[in-house]
Amino acid sequence: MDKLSRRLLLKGSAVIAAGTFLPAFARRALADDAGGPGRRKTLVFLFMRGALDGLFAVTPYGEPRLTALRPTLALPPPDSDYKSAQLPKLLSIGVPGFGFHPALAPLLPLWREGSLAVVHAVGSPESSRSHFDAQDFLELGTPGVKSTPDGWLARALTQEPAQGRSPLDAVAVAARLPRSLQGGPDALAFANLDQLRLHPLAGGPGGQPGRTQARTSFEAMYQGAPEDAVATSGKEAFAALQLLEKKLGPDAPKPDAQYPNGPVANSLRQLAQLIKADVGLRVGAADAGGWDTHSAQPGQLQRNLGDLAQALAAFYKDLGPRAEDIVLVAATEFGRTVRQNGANGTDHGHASVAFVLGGGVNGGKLYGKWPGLAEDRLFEGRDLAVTTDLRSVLASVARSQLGVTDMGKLFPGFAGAPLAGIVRS
Amino acid sequence: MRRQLVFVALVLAAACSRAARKEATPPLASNVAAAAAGEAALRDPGAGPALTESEQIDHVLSRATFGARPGDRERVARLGIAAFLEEQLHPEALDDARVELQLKDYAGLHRGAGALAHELTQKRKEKQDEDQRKAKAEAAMSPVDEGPMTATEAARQAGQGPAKVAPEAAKSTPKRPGKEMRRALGRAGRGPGFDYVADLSEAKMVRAVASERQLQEVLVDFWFNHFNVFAGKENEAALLPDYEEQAIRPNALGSFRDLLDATAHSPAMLVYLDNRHSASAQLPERQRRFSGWYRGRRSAAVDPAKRPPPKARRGLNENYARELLELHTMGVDGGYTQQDIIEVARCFTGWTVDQPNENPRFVFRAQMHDDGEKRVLGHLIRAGGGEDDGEQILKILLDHPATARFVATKLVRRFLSDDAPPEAVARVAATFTRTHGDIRSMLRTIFESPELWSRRALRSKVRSPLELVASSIRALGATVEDPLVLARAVARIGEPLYGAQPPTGYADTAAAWMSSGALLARIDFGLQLANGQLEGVAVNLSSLAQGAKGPGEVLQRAAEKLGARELSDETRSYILGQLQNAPVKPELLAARAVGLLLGAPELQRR
Repeated sequence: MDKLSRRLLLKGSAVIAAGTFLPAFARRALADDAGGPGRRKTLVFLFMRGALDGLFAVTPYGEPRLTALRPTLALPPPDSDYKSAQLPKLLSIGVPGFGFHPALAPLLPLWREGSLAVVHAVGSPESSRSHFDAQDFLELGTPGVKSTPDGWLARALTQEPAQGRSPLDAVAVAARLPRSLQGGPDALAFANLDQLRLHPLAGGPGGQPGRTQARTSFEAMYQGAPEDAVATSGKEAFAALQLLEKKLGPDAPKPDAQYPNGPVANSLRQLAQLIKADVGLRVGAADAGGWDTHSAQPGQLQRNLGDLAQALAAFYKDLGPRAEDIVLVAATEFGRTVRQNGANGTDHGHASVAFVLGGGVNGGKLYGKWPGLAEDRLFEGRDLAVTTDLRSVLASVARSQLGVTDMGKLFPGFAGAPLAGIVRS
Repeated sequence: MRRQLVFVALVLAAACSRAARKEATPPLASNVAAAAAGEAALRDPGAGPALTESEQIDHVLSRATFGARPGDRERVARLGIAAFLEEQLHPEALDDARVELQLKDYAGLHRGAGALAHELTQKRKEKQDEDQRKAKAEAAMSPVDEGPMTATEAARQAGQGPAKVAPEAAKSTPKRPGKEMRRALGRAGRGPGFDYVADLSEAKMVRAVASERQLQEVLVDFWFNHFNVFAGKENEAALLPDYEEQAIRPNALGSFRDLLDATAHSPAMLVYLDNRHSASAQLPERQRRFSGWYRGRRSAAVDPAKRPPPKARRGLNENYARELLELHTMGVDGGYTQQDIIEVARCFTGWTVDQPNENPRFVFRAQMHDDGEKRVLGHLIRAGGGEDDGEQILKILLDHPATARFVATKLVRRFLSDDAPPEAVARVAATFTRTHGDIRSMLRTIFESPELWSRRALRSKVRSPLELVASSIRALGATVEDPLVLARAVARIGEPLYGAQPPTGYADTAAAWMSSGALLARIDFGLQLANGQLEGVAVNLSSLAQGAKGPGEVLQRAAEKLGARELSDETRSYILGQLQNAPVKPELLAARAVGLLLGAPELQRR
């Protein structure tokens, strides 16, 4: 069966049975105002595109060769008596030999209370150092194979029972649907929630009434259309819009935290809004860019890690009790060279770090096996070696958040097991 | 140099033979559409009555062009469908001076990969130096960080770029006020290389909307996706203009062999699928020896073929070999093995790019080549074949029945319907085999297929975002002052031009294009266009309302203009209700009708 007919069939049951204005799943979603589709567990994937230097974010200051390999990038250990505005000390995280970059200070409380975990020396078994290939491989979940038709998040969602579906099951805060969500059940992508609305019809009223008029006009038009791929997408789109309009109207929950400015915070704020509004979100995806620090790394990462940490802390606080229901994974396509280059930066490398945040996380711990920075321990003589396949982290989170059981379907060709203990399932 | 001479010789030979050569297949019979439509109805009565002549005309315009312009239907009716298609099959005879003149504006298209790659390298180096300077200054000054200067600010300080085009200055320019400013602003603050892709994207929109050589442009889009290259990888932005102009467009209606050959030798493909790094597994040691020898002779003029690759590489890279088999020729079920991929990769070792960042050219480097014996798909490639190994592979693949079938399937899917009826595929594959991949002949076979003229094929294709935007502009006869606005609309609906990361290119099926978010973007594009809210695109809808007797007639005219004569009763009566029951000023009725129509389910199809 081809993809289209499979998709139609998946949805067909709900859509045809309804016979009324909205598909059944959407009516269910709207009917129960108290909980909407109910409190659901959610997986948020934050893709740090551009290759984050894991050794800079979570520094192994205990490595004897570190300062020799990174004379101007390695920051002084937490307990050193070195004082300098240019080289602030690393933050102690209670793990001997490892410290957070000072810009990650907003994450320390989450680390200490145990809702934030870090996986170090994590990455892909594939050695590609091309952003383009490596990002692709990560999103498809099949390192080395580019022809995989669907993304790993899409596959994770298809393992779900269909009756619990919401028109807002999967949302990407991005201009386009990321590859990780392509090829599966319908997912919605928007750069900004405000963009999810139509311009008014010519001669119609302006502002919200005009947009609502345009929406209801097309909604009715698509409702009457003969069942096919186009009409199905239309019905889903309008169900999603209607749900959003209802849940995120004037009475929508306001943020319960002060978010910083910037794209990462903006994306996370919108995902938190959807989660708190109980629209039935199972998977949220967003990007955080600016990690490709071939030069002038300290300043760039000071800013970028700071933005990331503040945004994550605000997101967690904003969610309040709902933080129990989410797990966020922030990962990158590969790490960077152990040696700094001539431009006070680093080049494309291999292993990096991943952050795992959520109420159900066994945090305050560094996961993974540390490979060391001795010459003979480096990957291809230059990079931090990968000792944990990122897919084992993702598998573990997909199991706890989405109930995924068939790991072979989630990550075809992956022989490893979900990383034990990092999330309570 | 040798390569260049060979290339020139080939071009000359091709030019001479094209004039003299008899076509591989005869022109289409004048009654081709009517006969095939009749046959289709006889063979498959379940599909409904045979297509009427006016349906045949709508259908042919939906398949061979980016959509009908005002007057196109009448012209095809006058000329006859077969004559129209034969005209489109010979684009070189169609006068396209107006579009060519317009494309002169786009410097990025004409400067050549050498100049662009050189400039891109310079710009990237400057940016890196700048970052380094800032880093030093940062370390020397206060710890308080002011944040990086954006590219816009940098350009402003350097006395160039968008800030130079002040709004006042733009206003004082009498001709096309605002165009340059809009263009500059639209491109401001983007990384180096953005301009080249923007030029290319604008040119693509100009051609899709206005070129007389519509079938050629449809095929350029088709073959570009078949042999996809992603603009975002390394310095592809600099390589793509030449790739499209020299490897794809001249061969779009020529022979598949030339396409395969041109893409295999193109720096763009060699970079995109990493073949330039692919070297014999024993390379490192040999290369070290070679480099030592070379270092002593640096001052001497060096044959590029003997220039060593800049860095020690990691041996065999299977990327190109895999996609060559899977996507360019045999298809994923074509019957090859992983061992075949490895052997093909061995054959192509040494096919690389000389000076990729300064003056990219194809070069064969014997010292990277695996000279051993190979076995591919049952063929023996003898040891010591050198560069010819790759040529032999291309020939083997071209002659393989799986290739004929795979290419035929893709063409049938594009021109006929997503399900690619097997009988039609078999006929087109036979033509491929008979003509050694003559594209014009394969298209004729498609145009002669009863399946194409069956009612089942009518409006069976979902428009890609590019097709949706281009067809809307064409149907309304809109004036496009800023084609980048159109390229942005296409991107928003899900198809950033030259932005397909995976080697599969953009898909050609309904499932790929239909999603809830994309559909909202389609509907919103129609509303903006109809309302005149797309900046840089002007639509004149006054003729739809002028002298119309009520909303019914406005809708009738609008539907006619948009080629939506097969509107379902539901959609028609629904839109009519929206026109009748709303307190809309008469002059806005036409815009409202067009906005509702462009977003209707029927208009998402062709």
